[in-house]
Amino acid sequence: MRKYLTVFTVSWQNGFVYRLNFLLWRLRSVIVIITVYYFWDAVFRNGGVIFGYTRDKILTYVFLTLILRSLILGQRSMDAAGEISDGRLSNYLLKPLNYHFYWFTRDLADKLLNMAFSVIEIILLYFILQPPVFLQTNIFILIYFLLTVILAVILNYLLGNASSYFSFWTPGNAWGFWFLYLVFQDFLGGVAFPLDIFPKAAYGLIMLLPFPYLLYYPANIYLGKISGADIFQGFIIMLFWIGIIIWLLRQEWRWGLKNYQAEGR
Amino acid sequence: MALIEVKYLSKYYQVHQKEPGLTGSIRSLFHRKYYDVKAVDGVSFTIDEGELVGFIGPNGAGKTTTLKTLSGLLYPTGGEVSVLGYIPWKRQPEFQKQFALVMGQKNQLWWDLPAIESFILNKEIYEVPKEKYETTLNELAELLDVKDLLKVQVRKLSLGERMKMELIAALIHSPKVLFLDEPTIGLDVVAQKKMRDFIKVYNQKYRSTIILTSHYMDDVKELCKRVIIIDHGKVLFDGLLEDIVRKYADHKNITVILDRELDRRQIEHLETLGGVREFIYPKLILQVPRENSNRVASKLLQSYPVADLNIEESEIEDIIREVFTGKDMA
Repeated sequence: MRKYLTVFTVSWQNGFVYRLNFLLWRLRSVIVIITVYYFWDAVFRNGGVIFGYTRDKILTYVFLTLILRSLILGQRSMDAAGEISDGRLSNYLLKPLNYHFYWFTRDLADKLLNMAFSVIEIILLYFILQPPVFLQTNIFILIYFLLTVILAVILNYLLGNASSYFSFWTPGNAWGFWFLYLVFQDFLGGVAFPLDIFPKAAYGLIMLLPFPYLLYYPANIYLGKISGADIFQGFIIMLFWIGIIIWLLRQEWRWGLKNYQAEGR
Repeated sequence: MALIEVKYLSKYYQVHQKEPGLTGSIRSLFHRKYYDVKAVDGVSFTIDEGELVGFIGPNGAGKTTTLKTLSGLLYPTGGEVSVLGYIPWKRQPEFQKQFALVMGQKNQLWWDLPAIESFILNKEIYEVPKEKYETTLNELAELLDVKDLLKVQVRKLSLGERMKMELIAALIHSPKVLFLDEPTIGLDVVAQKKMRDFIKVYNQKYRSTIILTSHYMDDVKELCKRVIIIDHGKVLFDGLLEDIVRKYADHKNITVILDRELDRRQIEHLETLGGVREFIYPKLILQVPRENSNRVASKLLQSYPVADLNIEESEIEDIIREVFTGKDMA
């Protein structure tokens, strides 16, 4: 699929145009890492185990989720909502191009660009902060971890676009859905804190939703905190949600286009 | 063979109406009044290969909606459309590779990158072979005289230059059918002229079928033999441009330059000769029925102090205006 490869390279070129923007964005992520690191470092100053996490594991969780965030949650496809609202979508509809793949490719380009930089930053920070990190050595866990990361990238893309496509009915209002989705990411996805600090019953319910599989689940697979039947259950739930949301997206796309008025053109 | 066939096409939009002011806004949160706008209402026409047809009508007449439906952006409310044998709104890639829609007011180029990057992207999207791409790009850039601008950031280009780049981007896959919606809008007179020349050459050289909409009658006069006039979603006229003139311009204008001021009797007598369209000494323009024009002209020469006299067909703009102001055309 050469056309998507070209979309990928053009995306990168576009990213490089705003060098200062990009640099500041990276600076922001470094500051976040340092702040969060010192916060948890202070909590565990006296050692011990809190919420089932030792100092090593919580610091690893923090570091890991910060890397995973740029890979899994970073996305540009929220722009799709704007394109649908103001009629720019027409440009794509005229061409032999799959709009979903187009944005997935652009997301991927964005993610990998950010990822490349965050790896460099993490290595630098590792030498500066010298945190005690937990290194997973079980090769099977590492492979499964990689698989969950890939699925999480797909899941996040689908959820984001399902939010964007509401623009077909409420042009200009899809931001509301996006905002809601970002809140779910933060509090139910494990961005703000590990989810197992919730009470047991609530935790069980939350794990049935799609959001924990964005970040919390892959991170805990790496840490080896999820094992046995829970691994399998998580995998099934993840696939289930991916299936459901693909179905939802297709419905939205199909009915949305009937409603689309190619405005402003 | 008819390349484009449109039968009883209609497209209704549902829009809601908001009462003015804040109270109106609050009310419309709970209760919205909807009504149908008939943007296109039973339009039929066919277009053959290689034709260059002008689509004219005032704002909101339904021109753009028709083009959008022919491009597959909109699903029609009713009727049938076939372009190159395809149903546009199915958006099959084989169809999409053979046509292009260019809208004067919107752009597809990547704003922050040189135009050439957008061309390369389109080349891949339309799967144009490398050699074909290079010859096409060369030819188009030559014709439009933008060879040395290809590597300049799009945001740094002038409107006219950008419009040319938009055209290249739309033509890089050598479409057989081209829909041009207001391609000259906002351009200065010189740039408009260049754009027109290009469209003319493109139509002749590549035998492409073109539908053009424009507000500027000059565009239509210079480019299109055939015009379709549309208003309120209905076709008012479909035929040769010169036929409209013959059929609807039942008047001619007689322009007279006078030698000296007219007296009162002469002025009163003017009314019996024809309609006075303009009278600012020394210039007088009379509108007279086509068949009377010679008789009135000789009368003017006989009994008025005429320095110069000219009989002209009405301006196309005037005729079209007459078409829209309710003269029954059918």
